[in-house]
Amino acid sequence: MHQSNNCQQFSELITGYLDGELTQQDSQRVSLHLQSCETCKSSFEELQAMQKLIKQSKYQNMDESQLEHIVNDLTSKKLELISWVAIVSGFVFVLVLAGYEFWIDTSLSGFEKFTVGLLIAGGVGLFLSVLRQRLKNRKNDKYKGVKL
Amino acid sequence: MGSVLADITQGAFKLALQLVKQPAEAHDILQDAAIIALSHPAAPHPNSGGFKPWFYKVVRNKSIDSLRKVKRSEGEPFIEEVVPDQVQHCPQRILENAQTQQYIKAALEELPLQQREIIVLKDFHGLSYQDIANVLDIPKGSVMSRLHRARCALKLKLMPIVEE
Repeated sequence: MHQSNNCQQFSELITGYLDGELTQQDSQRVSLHLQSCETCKSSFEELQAMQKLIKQSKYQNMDESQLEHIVNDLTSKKLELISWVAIVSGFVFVLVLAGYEFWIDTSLSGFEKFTVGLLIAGGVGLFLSVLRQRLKNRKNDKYKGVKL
Repeated sequence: MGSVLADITQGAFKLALQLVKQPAEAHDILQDAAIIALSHPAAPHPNSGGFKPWFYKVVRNKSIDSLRKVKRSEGEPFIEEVVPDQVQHCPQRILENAQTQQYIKAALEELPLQQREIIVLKDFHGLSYQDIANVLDIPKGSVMSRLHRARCALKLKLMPIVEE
């Protein structure tokens, strides 16, 4: 079937239109063209019918036992994260509490408090800077190491 | 069992099956992919939105590894079949026939891997163009043209059936 040059420019766009992936402007252009061109309208309807049939295709499911095994493993990763958050939160709370107790302890001189405070602040600062660097690397290294 | 995770895992298994065509291999691929998802430090969290395309990408890459190993991929080295842009039109009634679903499935299996994967990712798994681009590691702008060529190729595969 012969397609005019005008139709050819809509050829690919019809696919995008079918998938709802066009800009509003392109979508309107295609919509108007489909109203006036029987050939492209028919092509669109065929793609639509084909898509519907593919969507309804039946493929065998994964074995229930294996599915359960994999999902449980993946869920345990979620629990791992929650556990880490709990541990870190608890640790931070204890640190804050210890810092407060230390600060209000009247048996220590101001100089002792200042020196120990400086050491703790340095340690925490160093830890945070390493943590920040690690997180930054992890973010920028999203797919590295995945065996392709 | 987390239903979202179960759905993603089940979908990923079907993707592997659509690519390698062998259930036993698809099971192995899923096992490997799950190990990567659990051990890879940069794996998105299973309940995050980015997990599905990431997991599909791992499954797709593992499927290609598997196909290369057994040298069974008819599409290797993944050169796209040249398909005329203007495909003749199939009579609508054929596409409405119940048997057509089987024909389409068979025609899909005959397509080269590169065309089959993009069609199933969109039409069966319902991924957005952005997610397809992430899974296939291609620019988002290439998805529509590649998908269009793949759909034209599928229509072309269906033509002999239509003409019967």
